Amino acid sequence: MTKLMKFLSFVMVVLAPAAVWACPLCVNATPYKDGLLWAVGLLIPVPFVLAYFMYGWIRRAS
Amino acid sequence: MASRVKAADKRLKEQPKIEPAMLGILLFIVVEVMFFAGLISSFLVFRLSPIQWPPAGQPRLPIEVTAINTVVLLLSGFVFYKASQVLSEDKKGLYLSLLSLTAFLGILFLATQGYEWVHLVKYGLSASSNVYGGFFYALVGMHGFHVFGGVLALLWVLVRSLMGAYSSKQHLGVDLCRTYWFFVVGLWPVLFGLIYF
Amino acid sequence: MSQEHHQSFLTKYIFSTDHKMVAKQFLLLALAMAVFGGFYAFLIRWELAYPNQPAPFFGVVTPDKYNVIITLHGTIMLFFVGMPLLNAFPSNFLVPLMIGARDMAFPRLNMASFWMTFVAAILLISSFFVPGGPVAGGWTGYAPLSASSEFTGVKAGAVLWILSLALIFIASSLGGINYLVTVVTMRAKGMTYSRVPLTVWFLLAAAMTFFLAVGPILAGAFMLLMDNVFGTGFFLPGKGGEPLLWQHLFWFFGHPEVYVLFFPTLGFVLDISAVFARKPVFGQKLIIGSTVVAIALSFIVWAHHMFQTGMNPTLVTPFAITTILISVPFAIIYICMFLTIHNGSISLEPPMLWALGFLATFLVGGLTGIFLGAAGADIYLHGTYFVIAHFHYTMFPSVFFGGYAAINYWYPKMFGRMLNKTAATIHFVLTFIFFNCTFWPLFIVGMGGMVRRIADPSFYPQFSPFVHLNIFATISAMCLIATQTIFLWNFFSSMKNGKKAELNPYQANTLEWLAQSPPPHGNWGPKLPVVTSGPYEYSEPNKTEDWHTQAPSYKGEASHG
Repeated sequence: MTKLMKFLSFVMVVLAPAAVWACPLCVNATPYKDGLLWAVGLLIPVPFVLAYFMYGWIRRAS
Repeated sequence: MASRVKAADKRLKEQPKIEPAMLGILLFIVVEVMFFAGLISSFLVFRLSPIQWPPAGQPRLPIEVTAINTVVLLLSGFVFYKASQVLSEDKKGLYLSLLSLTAFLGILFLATQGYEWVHLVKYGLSASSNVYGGFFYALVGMHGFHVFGGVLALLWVLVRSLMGAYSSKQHLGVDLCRTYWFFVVGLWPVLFGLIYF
Repeated sequence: MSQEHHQSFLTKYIFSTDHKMVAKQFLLLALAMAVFGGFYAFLIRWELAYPNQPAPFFGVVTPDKYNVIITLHGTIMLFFVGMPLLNAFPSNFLVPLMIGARDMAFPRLNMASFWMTFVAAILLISSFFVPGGPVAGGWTGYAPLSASSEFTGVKAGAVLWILSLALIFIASSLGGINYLVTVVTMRAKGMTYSRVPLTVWFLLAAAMTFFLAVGPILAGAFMLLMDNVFGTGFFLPGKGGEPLLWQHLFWFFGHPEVYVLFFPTLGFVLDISAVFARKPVFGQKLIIGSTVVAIALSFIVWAHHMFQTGMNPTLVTPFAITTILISVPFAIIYICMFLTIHNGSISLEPPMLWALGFLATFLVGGLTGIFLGAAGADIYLHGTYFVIAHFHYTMFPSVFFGGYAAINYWYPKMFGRMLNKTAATIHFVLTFIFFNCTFWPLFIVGMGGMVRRIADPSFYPQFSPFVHLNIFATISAMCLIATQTIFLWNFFSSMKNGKKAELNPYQANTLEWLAQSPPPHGNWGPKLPVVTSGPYEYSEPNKTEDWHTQAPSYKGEASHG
């Protein structure tokens, strides 16, 4: 495989993961696919915001 | 020995810069925020999916009454803020009446929520038939449970205030209760917007 | 004076608010639960090597009992052995002593935390005595197995399991809040953050990671409880629910949780290697920085547990990248550990042996993790014993090598007597050998394709080439469990018969070695120590002694005229 091919396949994995996914039965097996993606995306920043807030509070108070 | 230790510590003690109890309650609220973040995120899994929401045949949620109820809760938060402000000016009488008003508004909120629940159960919004009803009861119920805890703390602070425990110099208990109450109050508009619309 | 100090049996040993007694309670609870967990491990291995033959002390491990046993083994070992042994016990014992405080910030909360953990343990054990028996859905409690009784036939057991876990999570987060508040507000004079020993730093890192991660699993437990009790269907596809949601909530907590069980050990190992190599810890600031990065990354790697589950494929590549990225901060910490020992004058006392054993074994666990973090390789390895081997190569060194290192190192301070050194060394050597003999074969078996979570491998002819390896692993596991009796004997008999310990038997710098052994109520004499130097100033040039304590002006109890 040339370097270009390697690069293109990596791009494809990132951009269209469903197309290269090896488990044809799993994809779209749930009607809540998009909901899970968004819910996960919204949950990820919460602990960071909280940790930053606590760090700031302790810094300010001491 | 213990008394000796205490006396020695008193001499050495510097005024602590951070109030441990305040830091403790803030960290506790951090855990609570993560708890509700988990619940809300679970709710969004269904809300943001391309399915019919609410499902067919569900009773309409009482948006108007709950909107008024939201204002009641927000008002209680504002009254609590005012109460701790007048406490710092040592206006004890005004402080006591404002704090009682806060507790009354909190109880009013809880009573209205309970009244709505009874009606919704009667109209057939069931927790077990689908996820929609389950999330309504889970989110509103969990928030109600926290308001209940907040009201208990408020009543405790009220009793202590009647006994004259707090003043402009000593108000840690009031501050702790206020911090928790603000969390409970601030959480509700978010849940209201998510569940009822 | 003695009147004030008098305590009844109940307030001294049972409802104690003294941080050292709470720590010992947690330690004993962890050891007691480890006996249960170890027995279940024995039953699991027995069934895999000798399927359908009656196991000693138990009888035939039928497939339904096997499901119960693997569930309880995981639950007990992680939440009732790992967390008390690596978080609650050392945090309670060491945090006030190492920062020069008299007790925790909230001593009564501390006591409540222990008793909630105790009740949680009782709830879990009591599920044996309810109709349907204990939960059988695996320690991850994957829905819908855990959400409805129609799959495993367990209802009351599942409810008790959820309640027990929720209770220990609440107890541990209250404990974590307590440790963090203690370190922020109660450090002795001169104990700046850069002079706080790394053990305390890592215990804090673990506490912080825990209470930031625990919320979603509590929410999940609440919803799972509603599914079981009120018949909601959050996780049941039949009612429009989504089982994957439980996995997200579980692993959002579950992955940081393994770091919660790993950070304290890093702290112990760094402190112990500095003392027994007589060298400063290499790159203290670098280690703390790497830890912060590792904590941050630990919250965005969890979906690598779910590559196989039909999760949205858009999430796969980002999570594979973060998973492989997280090995960078840990590699930095690891290299700092090696550079700490490098060129030191090493004395192979038992705590140092455990620390070195941890370095050797955890490396295998860490490196095999990269195989599983890469989504492509994970698809083939995830369902096999490779995962079991990887997981035990990370968790066993963390929990047991790290736990034994801490117990061996701080035993003189806890009980005022030394452990028997010969017995401790034999215990280490045998544990190290048998641990590797137990779990190394499982890598081979897993690569060969033997599937996990199956009670009777003889049922599947394709697993027949692995019979001998399985028997070898089982015999090693039995020897491994038997070896632990050496430790138990040593631990309990040395409390009475051990050599009297000096104040500072290892010539260590940190503050806890200034207190009496065991430290009295209130830890310090009339005056608190005043800290003037860092924790790792060993073998400084132009000094006669190769160590000096962090608080040289502290005179202890004796100074009072």
